[in-house]
Amino acid sequence: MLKLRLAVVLAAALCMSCSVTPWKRLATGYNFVSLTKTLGEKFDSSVKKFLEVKRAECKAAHAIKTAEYDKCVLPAVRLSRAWTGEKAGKKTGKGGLGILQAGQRTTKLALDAAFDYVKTHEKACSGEAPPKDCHGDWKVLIKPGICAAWTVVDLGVKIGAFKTTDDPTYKLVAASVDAFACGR
Amino acid sequence: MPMAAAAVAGIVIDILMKAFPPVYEFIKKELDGGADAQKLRDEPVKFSISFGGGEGEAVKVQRAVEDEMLDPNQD
Repeated sequence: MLKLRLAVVLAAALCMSCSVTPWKRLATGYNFVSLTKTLGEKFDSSVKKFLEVKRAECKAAHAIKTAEYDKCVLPAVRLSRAWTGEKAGKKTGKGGLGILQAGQRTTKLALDAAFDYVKTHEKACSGEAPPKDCHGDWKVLIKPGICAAWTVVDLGVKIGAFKTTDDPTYKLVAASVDAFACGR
Repeated sequence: MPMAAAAVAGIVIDILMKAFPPVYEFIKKELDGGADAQKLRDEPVKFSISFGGGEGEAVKVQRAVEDEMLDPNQD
């Protein structure tokens, strides 16, 4: 599996460097950020669903405002906190969603700046090793966000919250995130 | 003799096509990728990254559950 992941990363790197026009590089960057948006929406939906199911199960078995109810529902709440970054009404700034969104915002800014640069320097940006201004530093910028989101996914899979492993978007990102974003 | 980058890419893509179709489809699209690239060149960028009012939907259920807990501050 590790070899396959590395192959994916290698292929993606080749896609980014071996061909093409600066417009294609930018399109790849925008497509990648779009995928993180789609995946984020799916994670949010999965966390919500898991929390709703556990809430109903725990309510059926225990009265609310009891230690038994807390013990029953706490694993799902922990997962949700790891995703939302909120705990008992207070924002911790450590949630996967917030970090992912910050990464998306800075990446989009980098891509937009590169878009403007390419418009006026298309010829200089068309070589095999174009200046960084031609494509932005989006791969670096989005790494912390993807890694944070992935940590939440990992937690969710371990406690059985996510059953989305057959989803093509999940497969696509799962194949490369470990090696690429988290540096494993 | 070292293999050309294109040849290596071809082998990698061949492996992916057999082993991991969704990833292959994505990379194939990127390799073929004229459509998105040309569209990007021709049209201004229209791109949205926010969703669910920025905080998503899960947090709303979480708040409701925490209201039902005896001690919502426990880890």
